[in-house]
Amino acid sequence: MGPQLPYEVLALIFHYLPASDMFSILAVNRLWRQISLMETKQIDLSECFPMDCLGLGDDDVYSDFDFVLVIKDRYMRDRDLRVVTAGILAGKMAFTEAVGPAIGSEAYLEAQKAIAQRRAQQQQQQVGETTMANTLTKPTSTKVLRATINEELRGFSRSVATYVLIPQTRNTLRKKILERLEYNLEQKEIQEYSWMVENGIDPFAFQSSTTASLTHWRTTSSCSSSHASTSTASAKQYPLVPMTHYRFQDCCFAKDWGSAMDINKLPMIGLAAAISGQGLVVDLEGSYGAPSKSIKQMMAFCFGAHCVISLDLNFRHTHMELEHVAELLSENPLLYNIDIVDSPAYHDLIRLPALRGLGEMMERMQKLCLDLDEQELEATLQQARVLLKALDRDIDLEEAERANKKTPPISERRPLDDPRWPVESLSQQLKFAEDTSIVAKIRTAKVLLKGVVYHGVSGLINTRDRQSGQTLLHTLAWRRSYSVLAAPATQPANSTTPTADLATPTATLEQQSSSLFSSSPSSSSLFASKGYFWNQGPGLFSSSAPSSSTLSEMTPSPLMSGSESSGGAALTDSTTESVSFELSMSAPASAQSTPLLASGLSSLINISALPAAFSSALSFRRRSLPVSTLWIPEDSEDIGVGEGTQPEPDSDCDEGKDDSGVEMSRVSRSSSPDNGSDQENDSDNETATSSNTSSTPVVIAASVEAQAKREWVIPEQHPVAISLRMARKLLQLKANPNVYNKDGRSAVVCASYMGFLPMESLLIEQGGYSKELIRIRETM
Amino acid sequence: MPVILVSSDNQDFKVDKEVAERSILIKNMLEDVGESDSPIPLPNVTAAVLTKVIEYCEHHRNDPVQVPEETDDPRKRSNDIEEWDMKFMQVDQEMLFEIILAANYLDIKPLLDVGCKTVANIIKGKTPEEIRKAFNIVNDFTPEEEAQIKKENEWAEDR
Repeated sequence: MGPQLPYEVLALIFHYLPASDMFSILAVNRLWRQISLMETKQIDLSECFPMDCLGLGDDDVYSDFDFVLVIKDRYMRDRDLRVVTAGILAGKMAFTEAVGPAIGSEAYLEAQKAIAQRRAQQQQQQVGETTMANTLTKPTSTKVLRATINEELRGFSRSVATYVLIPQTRNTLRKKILERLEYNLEQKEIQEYSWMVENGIDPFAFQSSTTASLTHWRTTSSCSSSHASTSTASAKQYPLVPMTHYRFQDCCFAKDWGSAMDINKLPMIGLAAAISGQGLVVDLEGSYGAPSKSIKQMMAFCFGAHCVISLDLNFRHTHMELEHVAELLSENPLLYNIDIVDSPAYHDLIRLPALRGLGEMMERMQKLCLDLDEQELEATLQQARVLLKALDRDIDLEEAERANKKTPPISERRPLDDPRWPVESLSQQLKFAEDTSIVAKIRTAKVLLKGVVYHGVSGLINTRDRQSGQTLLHTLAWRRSYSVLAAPATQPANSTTPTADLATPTATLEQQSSSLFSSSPSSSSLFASKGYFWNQGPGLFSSSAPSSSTLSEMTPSPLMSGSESSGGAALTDSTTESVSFELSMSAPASAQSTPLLASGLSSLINISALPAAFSSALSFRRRSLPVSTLWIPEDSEDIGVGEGTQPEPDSDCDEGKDDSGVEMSRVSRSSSPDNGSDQENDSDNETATSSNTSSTPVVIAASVEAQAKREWVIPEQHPVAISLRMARKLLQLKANPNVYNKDGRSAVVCASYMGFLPMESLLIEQGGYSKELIRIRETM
Repeated sequence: MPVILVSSDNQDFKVDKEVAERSILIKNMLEDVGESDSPIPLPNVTAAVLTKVIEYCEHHRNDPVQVPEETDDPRKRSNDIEEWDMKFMQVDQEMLFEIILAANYLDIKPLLDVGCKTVANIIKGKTPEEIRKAFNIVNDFTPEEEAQIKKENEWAEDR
């Protein structure tokens, strides 16, 4: 045998080991086990978890912390368990199967009082000093209950509680996480957890297998007479600090900044807090609409703690301005990943020169969607991809050059649009506080750029236009529905009803528009006269008339050329002061009798359901949406996105119709549109007209035979088909769970609203979503 | 002014004072004795090991002296070993341990760190049995203790 390394050397070696290797060294021999359990206070998990899961790439992020746990939400089950196990093996935590005192008992009340005292003490400390300090969250001796949560305790914990969460067994942790994820992905309620004694481990209470291994270094605990589970062990050993459990949203609105966590991760978070001894956990997930100041407070607090757990810091702040975001990032090195897509900050950011025209590109895409310019949209999307790819490359190059120290000092100013230095360029274009260091500026710029690159084209697609409040998909959905309005005009050429020129049923349209869009007569006439309606406000159906510039941009429509060439019926924007739509009548009747093309979309669209769909859509808009609300209901969790539309079912369509999208997705039959008749068209108009008033029941085609007679086939170049094709392409880009997890729901909402029922399958098959992840709002 | 270091097997090594003072132990000894030609005995370090230590100190003679607060990195990494140091540490395990012990004894922190990082890199990714084999460590756990340890780790193996 060779020389044996002494205790202190082994301890030093173990300090260089990542937590994942601790599983092994603890099982080598007794000496190694003892040393590792005794001496490894820091767990460097940077080699356990890829840096990209949090974006913590720079060393200085770690310098102020004992350790940082990096947990990627996607791999939470596996890696969290490893982290927890590492913490256990490091002697920082243990499990217990014991159950605490009954709620309301003396021990329970005593702990409640002690926790409240500690909370008050913490608040005093936070008021006094917000900068990082080791003593900020120093625990006091506080008795903590260990109990099974029920309603009473949940209420109690929400009121004052700070506690540490320890699952009953290791397997329980995994089981809890799995169960919670399995049963209720969205529910964030505490099911069951147990608490742990602060400042020590009760040797009598913990019956886990690690208890024996902790014997050597567990200090003598003086058990409280009131509760066997409480102890006052030496603060040096296992200062398991209670922590608050509030969800971030709760903290946000309750202004309780102890800590926050995702309840789904509650047990793991509690254990991780036990590692640190500080019990501070931050989970900024779901912090929609949280004021930046609150975020800063939260980050300042956690920054001041010894242990900070970063849990998937891709949070979405839809209300933060770029200046606030820059301030937040510059002041919080822990924040190395940020998602500001669809926020004012994002809008401002992509318009900065450093982003090389990305903002203008997004505006262009809006216009292209409005114009239904399919090819140009594809080209622009490709341009955006190329731009982002080049940006990513240049960011990496700049970083490499900076790391190699081959460059001049950072402080040397460069041209603002120097493509070689996107990060530095952006750092000079952002607004910072005067005392912001150059390093902080560079880091902030890098985070923002990386965020834009990370979300890529999906970020552009997910972002609503600042003027209209519409995303690209919204625009296409609107265009599709608008095209649907014109569908009665796509009746066969032998129809004598001058519906092809919707100038005739002006009154009808005006009635519709008056009820459809706003109560403003000016808008309805404008709609009727212009053929389009585009608002300038945050909502689609603003009462304000669209600006002339907007309208001028809309004309001429590329669709004109498309329709003229294909001969399909087209919805055009009138360049004249004609009262209504003017459809291109260049399409001969033969074009309209073109058999169903091979377009999969066309096959899914059944215009025969138009009356019901039409009325349904109209009534939906009329009834459900306030003016300022987005047309398509958003995810209700998106606070600040509007009022979370919950349109009521159209009472006029009470024949079991689900929604226009459902109707529209029926497989069309191959009947020729030549079968259409004046009578049918009249009935359609009547249906449309009757849908304007809620009190008038809509006559819905009841018989299948009648529907079959009215079936239409949408040509490929019909606006409906075009808009659906374009939307489908965007949906494929938009619904990327790996980039924008919550987007899947919005995407599906858009899809279903537009009648893309098959899109759900697309999202499942191609987007990686499961049925459980797709939440189609019952808004139709 | 050269300094004479004497190994445990009575071999003399003449080194520059600047090189010798990379060892805090030797530096303190020199300060204590003042200007003297007396050789400095190093009873815990053999000639073979001392040769390696001197080689390291010669190579790093111009490195800035690390102060404790600068090196007290709470987050220790083992993947930042310089290339020369890495090659320097490519020795058999016995010599590696001897170098570490010598660095520990002589209080040459950079050398100690490099040695510990090297050992850590050897340990990384190995099972307990592999570690025992690599370092000739005897498993002194009882069967019951081993079963307990295995149970502790079982869920960490899950994916």
